[in-house]
Amino acid sequence: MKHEFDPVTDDEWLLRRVHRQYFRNDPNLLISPNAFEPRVKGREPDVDGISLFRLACLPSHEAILAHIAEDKRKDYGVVRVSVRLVVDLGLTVVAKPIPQLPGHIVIAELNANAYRANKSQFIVMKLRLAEEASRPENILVYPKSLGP
Amino acid sequence: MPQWRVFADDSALTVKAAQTHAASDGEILKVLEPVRIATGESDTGTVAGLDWVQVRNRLEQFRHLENDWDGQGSPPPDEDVIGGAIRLADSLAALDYPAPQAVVVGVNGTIYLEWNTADVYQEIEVTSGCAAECRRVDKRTRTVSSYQLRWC
Repeated sequence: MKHEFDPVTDDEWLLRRVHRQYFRNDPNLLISPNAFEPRVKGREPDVDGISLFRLACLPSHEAILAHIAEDKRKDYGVVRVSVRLVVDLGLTVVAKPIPQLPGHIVIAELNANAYRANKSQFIVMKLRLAEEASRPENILVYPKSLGP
Repeated sequence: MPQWRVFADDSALTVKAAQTHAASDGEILKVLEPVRIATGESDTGTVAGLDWVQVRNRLEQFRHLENDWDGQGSPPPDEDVIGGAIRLADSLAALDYPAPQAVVVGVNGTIYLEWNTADVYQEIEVTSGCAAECRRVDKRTRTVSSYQLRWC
C-alpha cells in the first residue's frame, strides 16, 4: 500500500463515490457524467476540486463508503477512473489529506468557481470520466438500494 | 405550449441555430435534432430507457427529496426548477421528441435530462422555472455546442 504523501503515478486508480441517482439504465453509459459535477452550493462546495481517493492508499475500495452516514450508505456505489485518463484530459490530481481516510485527492480544475463560470468547458471531461467509470470492470460497488 | 427562445452562448458553435427572437417549436427541434440520428440502437437512435410518462413521474418524485438528500449537503431542486422541468418535458413529449435515457438531480439543485447515442451526448440542465441550458457533445469530434433555452 502506498502512503498518501507518495507521488501519484499514472498507473494508479482513483475511486469516486457515486449516488444511485447517477447510475443510468443505459448499457452504453452506466454512469452519468453528472456524477462528476463539482458542487458549487451546499454545505461543502468543491472549492479545491471534486473529491476522489487513491485506491493504492486504501485497504479496499469499500473503505470509502465507511464514513457515509449509515442511512445513506445503501444509496452509494463506487467507481474507479485511471490517473492516466485524468492526466490525458489535462487535469491535475492534487493530494488533499483528510482525517477520516487516507489517499484523498481533488481534481483541481474541476472546482466550484471554474465550473460556475463556464459549465460547457467541462462537459467533455465529465463525459470522458463517465465513459471510463461506466466500464463494467470499473464499477466496483453498486448501490445496495438499487437492488440486484 | 411555451414560446421557445434559443440562444447560442458561443459564436464558434457549429450549429447555426441561435435565435434572439421567440423560436417556433420547429426551431427547438432543429436545435435538438442530433439525438435523432439513427445508429442502430433503436428507431430514434437512442438506447431504450425511459418514456415520457416515466420521465414525468420521476420529476414528480423529486418533490420528495429533502435537503441533504445525498448526505453530502446537496440541496434538492426547488419547486420552480421542478415545475420548469415538467413544463419542458411536457413540451418535448408533445413534439414527439425522444425521451431521455436518464433524469437526474444535480448536486447544485438543478435537474438534468440526458440523452446518449453512439454519436452524441446531450444534456439539458433545467436551472429555473423558465430556463435551461442545453449542452451537446459530438463524440466523434468532441465538439461542444451549448445553448440557453428560455420559455417564459
